[in-house]
Amino acid sequence: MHGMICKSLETFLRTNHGHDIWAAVREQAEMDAPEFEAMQTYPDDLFLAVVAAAAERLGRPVSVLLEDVGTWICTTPPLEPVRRLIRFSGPTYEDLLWSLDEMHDRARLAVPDLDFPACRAEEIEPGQYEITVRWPISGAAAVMTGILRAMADDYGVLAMLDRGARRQIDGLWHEQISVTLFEAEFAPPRDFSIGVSA
Amino acid sequence: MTLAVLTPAALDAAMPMALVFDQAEGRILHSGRVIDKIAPNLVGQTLEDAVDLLHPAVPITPEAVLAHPGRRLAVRFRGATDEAAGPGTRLRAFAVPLEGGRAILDLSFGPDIARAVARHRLDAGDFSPIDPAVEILFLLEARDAVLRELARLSERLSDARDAAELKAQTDGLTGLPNRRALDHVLNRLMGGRAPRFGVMHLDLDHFKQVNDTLGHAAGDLVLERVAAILTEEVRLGDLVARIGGDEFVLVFPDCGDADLLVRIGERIIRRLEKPIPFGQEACRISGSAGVTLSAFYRDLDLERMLADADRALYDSKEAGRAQVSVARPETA
Repeated sequence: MHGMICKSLETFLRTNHGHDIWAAVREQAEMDAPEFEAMQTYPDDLFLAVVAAAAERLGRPVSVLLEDVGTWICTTPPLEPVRRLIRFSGPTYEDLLWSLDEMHDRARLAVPDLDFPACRAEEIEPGQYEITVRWPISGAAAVMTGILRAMADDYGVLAMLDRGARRQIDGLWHEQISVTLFEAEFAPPRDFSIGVSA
Repeated sequence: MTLAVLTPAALDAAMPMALVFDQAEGRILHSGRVIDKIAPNLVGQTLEDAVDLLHPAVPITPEAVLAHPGRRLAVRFRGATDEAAGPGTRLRAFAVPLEGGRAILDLSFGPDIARAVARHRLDAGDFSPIDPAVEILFLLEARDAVLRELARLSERLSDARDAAELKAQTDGLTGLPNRRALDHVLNRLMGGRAPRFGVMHLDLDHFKQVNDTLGHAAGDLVLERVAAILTEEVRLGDLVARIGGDEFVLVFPDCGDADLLVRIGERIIRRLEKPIPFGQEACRISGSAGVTLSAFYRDLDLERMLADADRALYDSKEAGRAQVSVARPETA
């Protein structure tokens, strides 16, 4: 697992729940290093152990924890670049949904060895989308749900997101998210310009 | 053969940074919607009025622009120059002649696209939906984020290295510099022009008895007390290193006075002889020392200097301990 993803989880736990929780999670997951390095790669098993330990410590299901991480990535001010990079998908929330199939390649463009989940959106009927997320590890749809929820706020649209079916095909998890868009413009969007950020 | 007629709206959608001009006068007939944001109101002006040709550096005439169809030109809009932001953005351009005595000058941003986008307040809608220019902007931001993360990583590594280095040069019990640190300092002094320094080799007396009768905890307490005394008795900038169980070396930069070192050594010994309380008991020790000066040697040799200080220390021991002896090298 890429260190950026591991580090995101760690920073979420540290800033939202404290360094003691992080220390306890590390111990339970039998992680030797005191912290993740964003520029290193870690065994998937270690990442999964940290996720499981964190969910247990915080007393909430893994999927809820991962959704919170997804939302936090897009809304915490120190990670503003992430929100900005997602906003490069296009001027509207629908543009974002349609460009999800490019997100994997975009992430690679930025960090060549970052294995971002592969996503695809389909419009089932007007305003109703079905998103498929594929990743070797189960849980990517939960993180994406958190991200898409936060970005709906960012674009100022009212959207309802539900996680749907998931199954494993040839070692890859296929997980579904359904998105219902109620109003294209619900609230004023947050500022975004493609020029150099201040 | 005419393949298609483009309305201004269609042209704007397909090529938002194109100028259409007539080949006779160079008069601008159409200016794309993005050019309007960079240099407004160009329609009706001539190329000569509105545009500077930067490459090739010749006056901008329709003939010059069309002389090499397909060749990449560099241009700048005169109206885009701004006192605060400086000269207008340098743009890439290339010309394509059209039927009916007209021509297109299509423009694009160059490598400074990020600055241009910020300066002219462009947004994603200003680029064709299939233009990878937005990807370049995305990539620049992503690169900055990655570089920041790398810079943080390198700072952490550098801090960790400093800490490891300090730890490697520090004696864990007393916190004094160790033998490695001593070698480092002595080599640095030797590397200077005309080195001038003094060395004192100090060995505790009766320390073994403290350890044997009162235990290692008492021995450790004594060593910590000795470290404190030695540190208090030297100047800032002098070095006190613990190089063995009860052996210390003191280095005095800029010192050429053996009597001064003898006085310092005697003062240290007097303080070492004050009993150190350990529970109900008292630890009694003393010390013997040998000193030497770089000034004693015509050809300075570190090994020899340290050996002489060591020999002087043994002179002190043989003469009954609790005293300071000065080395007398043969060449003195």
